[in-house]
Amino acid sequence: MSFNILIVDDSAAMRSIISKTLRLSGLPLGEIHQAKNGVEALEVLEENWVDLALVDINMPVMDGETLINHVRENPDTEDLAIIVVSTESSETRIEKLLEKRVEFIHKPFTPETLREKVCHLTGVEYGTSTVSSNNFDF
Amino acid sequence: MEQALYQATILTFEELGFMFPVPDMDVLGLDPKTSSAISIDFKGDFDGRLVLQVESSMMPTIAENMLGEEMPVEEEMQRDALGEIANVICGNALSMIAGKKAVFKLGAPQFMTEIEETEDPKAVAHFNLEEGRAEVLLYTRGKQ
Repeated sequence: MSFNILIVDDSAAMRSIISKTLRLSGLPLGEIHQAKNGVEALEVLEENWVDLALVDINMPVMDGETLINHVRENPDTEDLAIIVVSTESSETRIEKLLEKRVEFIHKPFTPETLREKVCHLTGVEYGTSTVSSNNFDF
Repeated sequence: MEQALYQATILTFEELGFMFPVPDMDVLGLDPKTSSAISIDFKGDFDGRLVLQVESSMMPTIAENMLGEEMPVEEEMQRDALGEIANVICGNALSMIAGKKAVFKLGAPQFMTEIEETEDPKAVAHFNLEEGRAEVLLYTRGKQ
């Protein structure tokens, strides 16, 4: 079993960093899709099965919060596991995001932080490819 | 405000770029001819702009460190990497200055071909790194 992942960030460098970190995470990876804004992300979700999305907030065209709203409103994607990876520091905005059933990682992050959060959310044990008993039902 | 620039810059370079800036007491600005700069406009509790300027010779190293690449990184990706550093510095510095309740919207990083500002920055932080020098300038409008 492997996880298909979508990385949504307007920075190509950040998408590359996240992708590389995922490959080192021990997570059994399937396809890694990339999108540079919310509109592109919705197109990817329309055409592909995705298990986990890592989403930036400040993006042109369609920001991450709007993307998450669209995802949660669509019966096909409403249960998608989402981690917000952002510079956002406002407690008010972070609390609002957490109400949308997402995890949050603050930039800058260490590769270990990203790995731990992804492994926690997917139920994969840190540094291994073993899926634990309380995993998400992908 | 200056303290926030120092803290946010050190944290960001260390965690994203695996580089270790040391505050530089030499207040002379960088030479625009041999520097690269990225600006981030922001709006929120107060508006303004953050500028990250580095010696151009540092650009390849910053990108290579961030991306974990041993091969040369193309110029566009180098700019993108510097933009992400500036973005993260800006987000963190604003939160340190205005507090955790404050809400800011950050614009996309803009690579500056000409470094000219008509007004003086509200705060400046200078750094020495093994790879060269860097500085962060914060311009603000409105009430802080």
